Amino acid sequence: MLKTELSDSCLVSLYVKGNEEALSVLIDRHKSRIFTTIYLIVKDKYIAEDLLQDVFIKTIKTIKCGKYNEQGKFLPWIVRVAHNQAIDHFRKAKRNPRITLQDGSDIFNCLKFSENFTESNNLTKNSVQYIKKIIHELPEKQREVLVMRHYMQMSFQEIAKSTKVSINTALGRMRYALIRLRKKIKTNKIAYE
Amino acid sequence: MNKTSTELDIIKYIYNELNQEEKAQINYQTIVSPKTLELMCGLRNVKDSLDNIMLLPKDSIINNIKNFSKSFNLTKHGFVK
Repeated sequence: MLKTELSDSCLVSLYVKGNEEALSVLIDRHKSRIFTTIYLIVKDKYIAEDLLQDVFIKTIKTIKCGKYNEQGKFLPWIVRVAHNQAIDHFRKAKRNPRITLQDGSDIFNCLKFSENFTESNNLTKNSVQYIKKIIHELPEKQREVLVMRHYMQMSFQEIAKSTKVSINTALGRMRYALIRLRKKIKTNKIAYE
Repeated sequence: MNKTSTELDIIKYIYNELNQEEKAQINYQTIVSPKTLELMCGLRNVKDSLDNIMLLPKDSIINNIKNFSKSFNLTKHGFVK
């Protein structure tokens, strides 16, 4: 059993040498962040799962073919691959899918929560679902910056460069997104009280 | 410091993108301005809430990926002659 404290870089090196368990650790370590990033862009659990598979298949091929650049960090690299896949899909589809199940229930209810969501958290399951819903309601540009900064862990400078806007514009979009979420969370809390 | 620039700095603060001097400036602002403190706490709460919605794909999806890796062979898949 591989020690999970090994760095991503060590795990990639082991995987290059044929250690399949190293890939397993990498996947288990980062699957949630990558899946959440994709899901918040495409807004469809099943498409997000398909894209997640595509991302890892691309990763496996890139590493096994010796094309992976060791100089970069693994997580920012793979999250960027995931983001590009999701954006490509979004552009191809040219639509904003909202999935409702046959019984009329919300697709959010089908999502499995990560270990992060435990009873020790202050938020209830309903609150978590509500937050996912209001993230989806954000204007696209604001949601994009939020996903890039919070889930992809890109700096505001990197986001500005990637989205071809000034850093103040990127920050301004994040500001609107967070303030909007804050207001809605506050209103929702008051409504429940 | 105007309201907008303070808000932008608070966002950079909670995402750890300020240098020590800028952080000290924001810390000072939170002491002298209850509104800044309230905003800081509010935005931190939003950030914490966002941390709670990390999602997981189905186990079968992860197993498919791991199995693909095990079966992926450079020669077999035409990457090496």
